[in-house]
Amino acid sequence: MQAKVLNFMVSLRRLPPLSSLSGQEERMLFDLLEAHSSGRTLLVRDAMNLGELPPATAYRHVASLRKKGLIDFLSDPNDARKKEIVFLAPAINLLKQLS
Amino acid sequence: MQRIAYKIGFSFFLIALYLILTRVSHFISPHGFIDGVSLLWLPAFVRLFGSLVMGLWFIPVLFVMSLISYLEDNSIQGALLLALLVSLIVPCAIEIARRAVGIREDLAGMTGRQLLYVSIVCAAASSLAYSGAHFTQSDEWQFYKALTSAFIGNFLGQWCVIYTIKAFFYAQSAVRSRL
Repeated sequence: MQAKVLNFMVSLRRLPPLSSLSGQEERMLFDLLEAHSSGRTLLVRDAMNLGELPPATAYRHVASLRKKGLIDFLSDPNDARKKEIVFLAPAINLLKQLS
Repeated sequence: MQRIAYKIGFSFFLIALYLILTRVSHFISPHGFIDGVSLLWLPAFVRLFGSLVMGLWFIPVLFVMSLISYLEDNSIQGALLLALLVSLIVPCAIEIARRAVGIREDLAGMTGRQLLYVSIVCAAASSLAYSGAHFTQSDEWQFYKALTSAFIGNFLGQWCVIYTIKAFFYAQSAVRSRL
C-alpha cells in the first residue's frame, strides 16, 4: 500500500503545468537511465523499443528530452546511422533532485 | 501484522483528513452552496485517493467518515442511507473506472489523463449517490439540480486538493534545487 501512495504522489507531481518535463518524458528519462545503468551502450534505436510505447512516440519523447538539454546524441564515427544517447548534467541533477 | 497495522493507521489518517477538509470546505465557501450542496467539496479528494489506494477495503472507511460528516446536518436514518450509498457506489465505480482506463493496480505510471477520467467517474458516482439518497427522503429535493451542483463541487474539490499537493511538490523541488 505504501507503494501505491508513493506512485499516486508521483503521478500528481508529474501533472502539468509547472513541470519542466511531461509525465511521459520523465518516465522515458527514467527508462533510459535504467537501461544505461546496466552498463551497455544505449542507442537511439534501443530507446525506441523501451517500455510499452510505440516506437514513433518513444522517439518523439527522446527527441524532446534532447531538445530540453537533458540528453544528447553521439554519432558513431564508423556508422553514421548509430547514435548513442549520452546524459547531460541537467538529467543527472534532475535525478538527484527527484531522489 | 505490520500490513494490517499500516492499513488501520492509514484509515484513521484518511478519516481525519476527510473531516479536516470538510471543515475547510465550510470555512472557505460559506456562501458557495446551492440548496445545501457545496460547489467546492474538498473531501471528494479523499474518496478518490482512498479508493485508488485501498480499493474495495475503502468501503468501511468511507462509510465511517461519511457517517460522521453527514450526521452533522441530517437525521440518523438519513445519514445512514447517505453514508451507505456513497460508501458502496463510489469505491466500486472507481475500481471499475481504474480497470477501464488501464491504471495498474499499484498505480505506477498513472497519467494525468487517466486520473482525470477516474476523477470524473468519482465525482459522478458521489453526486449520484448523494443526490439519490436525498431524493428518496424528500419529495421536494431537486434531483437534477443537486446532482449537477454536487458533481461540480466534487470535481472542483478533488482537483483543488490535487493541485495544492502538486504546488507543494513544486515548491519543495524549487527549494531543493537552490540548496
